[in-house]
Amino acid sequence: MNQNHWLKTNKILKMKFINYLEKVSGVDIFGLASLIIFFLFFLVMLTWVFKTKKKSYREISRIPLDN
Amino acid sequence: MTILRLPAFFLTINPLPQPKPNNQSKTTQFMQVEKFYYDNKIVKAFGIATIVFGIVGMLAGLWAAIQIYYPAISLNLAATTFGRLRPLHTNAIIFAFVGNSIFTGVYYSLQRLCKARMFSDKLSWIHFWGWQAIIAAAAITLLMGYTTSKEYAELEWPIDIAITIVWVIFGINMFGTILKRREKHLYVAIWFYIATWVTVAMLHIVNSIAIPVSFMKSYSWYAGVQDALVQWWYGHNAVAFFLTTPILGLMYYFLPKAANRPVYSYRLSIIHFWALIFIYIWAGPHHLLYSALPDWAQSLGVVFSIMLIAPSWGGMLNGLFTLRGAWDKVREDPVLKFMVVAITCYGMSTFEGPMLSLKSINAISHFTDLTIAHVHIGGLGWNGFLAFAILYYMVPKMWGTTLYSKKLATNHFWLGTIGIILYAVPLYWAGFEQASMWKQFTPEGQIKYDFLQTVTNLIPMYISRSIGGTLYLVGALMMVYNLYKTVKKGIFIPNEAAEAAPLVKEVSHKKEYWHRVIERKPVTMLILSLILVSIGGLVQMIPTFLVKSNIPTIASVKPYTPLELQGRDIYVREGCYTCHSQMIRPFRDEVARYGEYSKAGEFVYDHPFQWGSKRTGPDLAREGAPKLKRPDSWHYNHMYDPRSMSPGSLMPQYVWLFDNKLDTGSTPAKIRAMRTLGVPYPKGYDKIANRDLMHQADSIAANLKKEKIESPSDVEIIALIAYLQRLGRDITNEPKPLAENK
Repeated sequence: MNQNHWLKTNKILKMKFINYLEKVSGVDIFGLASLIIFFLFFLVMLTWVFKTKKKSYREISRIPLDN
Repeated sequence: MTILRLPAFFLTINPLPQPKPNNQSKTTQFMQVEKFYYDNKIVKAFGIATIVFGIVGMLAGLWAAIQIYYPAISLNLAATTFGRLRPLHTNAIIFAFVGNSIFTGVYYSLQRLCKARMFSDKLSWIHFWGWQAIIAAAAITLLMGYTTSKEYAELEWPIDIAITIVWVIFGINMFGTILKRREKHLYVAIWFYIATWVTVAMLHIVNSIAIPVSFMKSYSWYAGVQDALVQWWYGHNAVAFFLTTPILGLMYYFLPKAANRPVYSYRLSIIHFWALIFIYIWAGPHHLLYSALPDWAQSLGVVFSIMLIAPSWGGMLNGLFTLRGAWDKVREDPVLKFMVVAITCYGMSTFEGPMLSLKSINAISHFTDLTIAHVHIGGLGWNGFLAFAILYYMVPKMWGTTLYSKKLATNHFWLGTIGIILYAVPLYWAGFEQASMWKQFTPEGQIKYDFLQTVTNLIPMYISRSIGGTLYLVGALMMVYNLYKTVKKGIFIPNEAAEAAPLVKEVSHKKEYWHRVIERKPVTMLILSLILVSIGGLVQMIPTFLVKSNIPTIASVKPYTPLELQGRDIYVREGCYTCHSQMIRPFRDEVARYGEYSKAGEFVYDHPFQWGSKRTGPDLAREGAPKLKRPDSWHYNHMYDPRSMSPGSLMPQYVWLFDNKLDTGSTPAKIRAMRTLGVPYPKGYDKIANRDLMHQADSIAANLKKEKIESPSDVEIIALIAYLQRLGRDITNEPKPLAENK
């Protein structure tokens, strides 16, 4: 392979699909977004878990034993 | 935007005020119960496949393990050499043994938890035979050297497509069953099955995207750092969603059944589920610490790995506490014995995992046997023992009898447990010992130990490991005998009768919380799971793909020549990555031993990346750089008989490379595929690439001739030498290494 040729075509990698993804805006807020998603997720899940009545859990947890 | 949409999404599933109750709900009391039959035939078929492929996978593992200290046992055959046998072992254990055990347990438990026969017998059997055909195709093609080299995703593109189709069929059958169920609530085990299905589908598709070059050969769509990130996002989550979540689902069904008591805390099981699937997906980058992956992604992986301890141990304790007040049963019942050790191993490996993801510990564990020990606590202990437990539970039930010999099963348990200890403990030791030997310097500031010394020193540990593996295998064979005798004394019940009232659309008595709705709606559950598992992947991948400063480019890094590209494909085919890394970490010892540490920009043309995950041999990232460069004749002799150049070497011989003609017919298609992926070969170069290839091959043959080695220039070894001599050469041409390209 001719070395000069590579110097002339000294292009960086440009995978084609990157060209599309580059247009996604707001990549910078990903860090903050992930933090908020994280806290929201646990808040919602724990609310769910602790609002449900114990009796309901008792019933559901017996499902495997009923068959 | 995602943040804003998420609460809105939750609100939409919050039910609106319900109408006042009427008498409709009471109709359930008077409903005629329906008689139906559970399909045990499909469970039996998957059970047999689990046992057969378990034995095959363990045998392949044992054979590969012995090769590490006794290379001649490879028989000097291409198909049975470590580089091809190791992927066969991992794939057989993960997808054939554990995969079939998952399907066995899911087909058994799902029907009973839904109080319904499987949605379609036809789909069940298409799933069964489709999966076994994929396993057979995998075994044949991996031994023939058809591999993508992406760990646990080595299978080539036609098989990847087949996997997708069969997985979708399994999904239709599973969701069909869930939708026609006679049980109102979806028990937590089913949540684990749903999350498994959706996440494995996503992981498999994203990681397998590749451009086919020919039938059974493709190049990964991603390159270098990005390929590594996607691969380990997949690799890590294959462990999470193929080897963990479905098995947890099985634990939540079979443990209460075997102990005859409900799970300790159903509330905890819900927290376990959601926290586990949410956090797991972020932790992939801990497989790439100190590598050329951007630092922020590495840190993110570490933080989430540490957090994983909480849900994992929550699940483990939930399992063990289920046995509170029932430990006397554990003494009697082999099923519970296996489960206790399985759950303990789950706890142990999920403690080790976060510890190994700490950078200071990872510096020791990565590339050494410490990781191998860790995965086998999970594989042998958690997956293997839980599979044995459910087989010991289900077989007597489906044959309407009792286990042939509890004593034999207890002996299996002890052999297996001792086998795990004999396997893992020496390898923990080996990991620490090898890493500390790598890092030692003499008072004069030179590296104290030659790489080969750090490996041969471990031979006693490797022998012990294979003894441990043998004991484990003997135990499994005892199980085969025990189950065979059990089957012989019972009568198989192909269709097990059951009855239950059909599910009536119920109108609630009062306003329900939205969570009650989710837990009854499988499709909502599927979508929520998909959203959750997508977030972690997207947050890591999109910036790595988009922000160019994450992968600083290096002007002197050039695409491979056609001969080097062909040589690289041979390197991939022979599975060299199973023992050699191409990733020099920024440590004093590694830089002193191998040269300048690896930079992200060096890998931009690597489809796929070849960083490796284990160093049974030395790193090869700078094999062709002036500092390490050896003459072509050295490589020629070394590949023919490694011990002629490195006395005591444990590397196999690659004698077939000296006879196999290089397939130059594939060169144009390979160049075209690389061009499509963005590698800057000039337009029309595919037509003249073979001219350059032969020119370079002739010059290597001429070099060999100068060293009194007569070799034709059109054999595979010449291409492999060209590739090895190219490794790490580009960066030495660069006076100032990095040019940020924002």
